[in-house]
Amino acid sequence: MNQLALALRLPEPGGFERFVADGNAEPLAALQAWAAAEGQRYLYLHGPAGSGKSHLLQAACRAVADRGGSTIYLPLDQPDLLPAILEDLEQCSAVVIDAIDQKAGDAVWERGLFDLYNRLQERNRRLLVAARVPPTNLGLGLPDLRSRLSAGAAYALRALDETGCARLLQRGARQHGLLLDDAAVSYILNRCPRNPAALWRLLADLDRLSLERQRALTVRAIGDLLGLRPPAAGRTTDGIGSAPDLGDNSAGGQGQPQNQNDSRLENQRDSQVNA
Amino acid sequence: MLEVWKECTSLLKGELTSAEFNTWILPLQASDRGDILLLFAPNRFVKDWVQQHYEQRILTLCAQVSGQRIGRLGFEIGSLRSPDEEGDSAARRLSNVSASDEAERMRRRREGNLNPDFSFDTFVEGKSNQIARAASMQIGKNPGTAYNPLFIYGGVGLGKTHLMHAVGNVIVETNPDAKVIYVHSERFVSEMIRALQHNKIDEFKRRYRRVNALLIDDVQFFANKDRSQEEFFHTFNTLLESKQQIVLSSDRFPKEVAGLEDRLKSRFGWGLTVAIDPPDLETRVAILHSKAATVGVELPEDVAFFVAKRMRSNIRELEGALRRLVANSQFTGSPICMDFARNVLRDMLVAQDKQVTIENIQKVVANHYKLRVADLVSAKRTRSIARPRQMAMALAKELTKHSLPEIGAAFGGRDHSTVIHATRKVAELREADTMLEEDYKILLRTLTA
Repeated sequence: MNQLALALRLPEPGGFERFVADGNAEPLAALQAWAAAEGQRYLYLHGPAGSGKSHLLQAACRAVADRGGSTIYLPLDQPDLLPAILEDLEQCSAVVIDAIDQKAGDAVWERGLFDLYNRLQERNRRLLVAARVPPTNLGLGLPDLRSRLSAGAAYALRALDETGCARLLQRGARQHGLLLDDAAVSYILNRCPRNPAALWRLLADLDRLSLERQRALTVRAIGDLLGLRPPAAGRTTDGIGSAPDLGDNSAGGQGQPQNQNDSRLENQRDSQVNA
Repeated sequence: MLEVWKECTSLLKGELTSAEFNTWILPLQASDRGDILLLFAPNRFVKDWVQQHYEQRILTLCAQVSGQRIGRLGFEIGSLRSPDEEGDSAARRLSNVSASDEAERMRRRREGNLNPDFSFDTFVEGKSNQIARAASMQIGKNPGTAYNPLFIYGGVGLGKTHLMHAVGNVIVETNPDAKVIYVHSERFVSEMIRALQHNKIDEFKRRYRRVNALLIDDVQFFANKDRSQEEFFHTFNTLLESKQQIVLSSDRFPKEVAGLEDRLKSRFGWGLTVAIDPPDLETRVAILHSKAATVGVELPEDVAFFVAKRMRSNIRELEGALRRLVANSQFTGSPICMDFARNVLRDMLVAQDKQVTIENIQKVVANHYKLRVADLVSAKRTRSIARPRQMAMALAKELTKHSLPEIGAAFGGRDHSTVIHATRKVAELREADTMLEEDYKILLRTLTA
């Protein structure tokens, strides 16, 4: 019988303190200053998927709010958002726009963003924009918007390398109150997508599963819990629980589960469906 | 009540994803009106969304926190004054200094959207802009009498907006009572639409027709907005008749601005029309030095040349590069030197050299002709779509290294002979049709700038 895990969640990755800054110390400092209403009013952040843009942007949002500012986070990759959301945002002391590349080439959005940029400038408001590529590579149709976006300091975020991911896993494990030794860390990194969002999710899953199954996080246990190893005889029928989806839909994950593991995940899903 | 809201938000923080919370809950500001919790959303979109998706949950949580049933929430659009309005505080401090001239000027500038940083002192003169600068100065000193209107045109990021603000600042400087408004055309349009919606059109008219100087930026944004053009036409006439100054800017010569009524175009040319061209290398270097000086940084000559040589297209990019250099120097505590500049600008320079893609060409062309990319790759063969498609194909041949079959394939699986035909057709039309030639040039500039 499984131990029931209560539906208590650690707060989502929120603050700057959870950001593993390996190689990204300068952008981190710039954003912290920005959120503290110091230095330049407009910053631009670019980097590949999984380099931590959304995390940093949201951390900046929270920091602005914590010091009493009014702010809004606009993830433009969300199809629910319409250009009308840009109206009157100069009332906020700081506006944070994520994934602006998603709207490049959309004339209505580009005009709206251009107008918002001007309004924020006029009112001395702060603006933070992020995308995968620098402003000149966004493929914007409106040259006026492109040149304005180029006017601020643009910081490149680099994706975490293996050491950085390892550091993230160890730090995250500590926050979850989990013990994860070096062997376990390298075991995970060799088998799972190396991007921060996926690793955080994986830690949350490990936390829940290890509690439910009452197992310490040894390499073997991690393999079992995450369904990364061929099942021991007789284990499939008792149902190891829902195998977490290790693929990250927002990012091209490096190191996808190997074929063998894929089929293992498939089997597991099938057995769940059958049950 | 506010305590209840505070706890309610911290519960919501645990229930919603971080993105949901930061998009919809974080921008809300709470206030209590009697026993109603009043939530201010920055605009209608946010308000409607929150009401639709979170109102019930907020009510439940509030009841849970306070231990009593909360009848309802009030929603309003707007904001409580935020405590950290930068820039405003300086103005407020000054306005306490009992109506001194400076405070009055500051107030006037704020009301007229004038940015005091854009002055003639901070404008770097070069061959490319000296006529525009001289004309602007003249007008700043003698508004309404020298040239009316003054029409400044040139590409993006070359200093048009800077000059317009400088004119406004000089006028306010000389006469603290002068009423000057700087407004971007896009804003003029949206303000007017809003005024119409709220039955405040008379107020709108009064605002713009009772000024001593009206500075309207990027008039090409009036294109195809008939009602706004009509309104602007009357504003224009009123001001000109009463000898008040008008300064206009655009990305091209008045007669070439597409989608504007002829009567406006001809009026735009009544006064003086001046061009701003992209700055030459020496001017770009001078601009960098000047901007570095304003932030108190010494920029070595070789670094200035290095940056100026690579950032050619507009001044905003120069500025972005400089800001990045300065920030990095402050972060590392090391002075700006060549190696350091090369390192820091690597990302930006890679971006500059990056090649144009077919996808990008399609986006830009579609945008230019107000079409969708889907139209360009569709089977449709009406001229309004076929011409832009041919233009995009010709640009793809010109600007990318893709083969003819590859280009054909990228345009909805067309044959390579279609691409050959398109490039020939466009070459032919560029000779015969000045409009099309102008389009081609603009697109080329947009894509390679």
